[in-house]
Amino acid sequence: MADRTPLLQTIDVDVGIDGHNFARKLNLVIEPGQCWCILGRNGAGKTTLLHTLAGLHKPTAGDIRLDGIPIGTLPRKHIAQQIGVLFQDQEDRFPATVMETVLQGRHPHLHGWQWETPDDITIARQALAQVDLDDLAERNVLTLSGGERQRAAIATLLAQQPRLLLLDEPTNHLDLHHRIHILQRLRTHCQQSGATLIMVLHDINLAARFCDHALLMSGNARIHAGNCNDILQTATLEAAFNHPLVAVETAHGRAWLPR
Amino acid sequence: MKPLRALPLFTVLGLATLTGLWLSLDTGSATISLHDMLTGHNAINTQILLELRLPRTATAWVTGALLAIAGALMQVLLRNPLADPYILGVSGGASVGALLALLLGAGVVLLQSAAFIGALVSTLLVFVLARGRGNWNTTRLLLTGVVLAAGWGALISLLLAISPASRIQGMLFWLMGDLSYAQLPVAGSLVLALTALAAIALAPSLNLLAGGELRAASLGVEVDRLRLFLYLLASLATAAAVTQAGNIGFIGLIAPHMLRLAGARDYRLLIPGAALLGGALLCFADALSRSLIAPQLLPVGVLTALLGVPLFLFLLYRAQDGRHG
Repeated sequence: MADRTPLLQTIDVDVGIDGHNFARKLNLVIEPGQCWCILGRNGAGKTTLLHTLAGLHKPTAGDIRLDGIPIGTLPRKHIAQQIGVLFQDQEDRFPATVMETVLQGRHPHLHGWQWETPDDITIARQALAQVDLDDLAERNVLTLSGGERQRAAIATLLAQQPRLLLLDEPTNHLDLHHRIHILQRLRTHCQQSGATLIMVLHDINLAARFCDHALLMSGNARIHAGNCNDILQTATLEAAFNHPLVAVETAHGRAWLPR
Repeated sequence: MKPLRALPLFTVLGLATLTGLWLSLDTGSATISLHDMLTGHNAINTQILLELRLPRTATAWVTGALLAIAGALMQVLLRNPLADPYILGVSGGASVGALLALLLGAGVVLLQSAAFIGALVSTLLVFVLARGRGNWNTTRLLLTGVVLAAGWGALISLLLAISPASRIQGMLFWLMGDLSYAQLPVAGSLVLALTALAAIALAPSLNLLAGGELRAASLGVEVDRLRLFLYLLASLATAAAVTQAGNIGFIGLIAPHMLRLAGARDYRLLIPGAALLGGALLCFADALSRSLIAPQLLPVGVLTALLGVPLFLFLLYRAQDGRHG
């Protein structure tokens, strides 16, 4: 019975904000170990959908279930033990060291006033090593570059150890090397721990390379979701982005170039 | 910063508080020796100590501690390191109440009641107006509070303009922060104990809220409930402080910042540290305000700013130096 219940399920979900509809009657089933990308036009509602899946934004209709339980009825702390979110912008305004910031990811697992244990610190150190920030652990986050802040935020998410990772443009601010490196690490992390990934991406080629499922938002609540092989087709992508594409076959798989 | 590494800092803060209390008790026109203080052989000196200086010293410490905690809470509520306890107009409401009472020649009890009622009215007004029909976001809360504070400011000017000259000095002293009405701060101490305990209990969530509301929610904080509670807590602390000592500026802004610069960024340490530091700072300022141009007294709020500005700038300067170290 337990393994019949999907990790996350949306049942006839409508997503909207201020009268704009981003999704209508969306039915998704997210299973453990899957890696989803959310692709789509500007303003199509990718971030709002991601926040809705995280239980941070109420759907205008329908039901979102985490392990079969409506997410709106769960305490935030319980959700935080299962779902972790990387936000599009990091809004640090108060000074704190990178280590202190990453340790905040352990909050859902601590009881009340409990101080972080040596185990928590070990987990945070490992997370920092995963994103190549181990040397900057004692630096003030306010002095970090955009890319370093982004990696610190990803380390916080890894330290949280959720079963479902929702990432809003994880490659933001990252250089070429770290873009590939971080996505690879996230993918490996999920394969090893059985965690699930859902990430908003802008690069179709990165999506095709790292994800097995895709959700395409082409505006006006038109959504295609399914296997990457079915969804990531040149014609579908052209329609979704309203821009002509060329598919190029390479030794490492297919790539799309904007025409 | 871990609890053990904060030990030296808290030792310094404890010593500062003790020194502040001692200085404040020791300052005044009558010289009272430590021996007299402890043994109580000299009846007049004992009376001065217990009936004049102790209430004043205790009020100074409790007020400073309340303001420092309220400042730390406002800063995280508004997610703005520049916020102070007065930013949302609580003190403006209190001031209008207090000035009205002073204008009518009211006594201490009425003055304090009027100030407290003014603070509560302002708190409720901001709460109702900022909440509107939907969720209350930070910008809306800040704008409502700031505009309301400006409105109170206009009323204060109006009251000053129409008051007879004989009452003006008392009013100005109150507006600048004045401890000369001090009585034993029973209610203030209760509010301090309540806010300090509640704030320390909430500290882990405050750490997260400082990093953004959505982020805090995604890490398990019930953000709406926390923000409402924070607003009420900070307003209550500010109201209690303003009621017993008028508008004492700067403590609520600098005490939390001095602690952050000293490395106590974790609210579990910041809240108790701010209480100790705020209390100590106001005791120092009060002792100075009574001795600087004795026998005349200065409004203590002037001293807090005169002391606080250079101290803060110095710390800021040093922190910038050390940033790349």
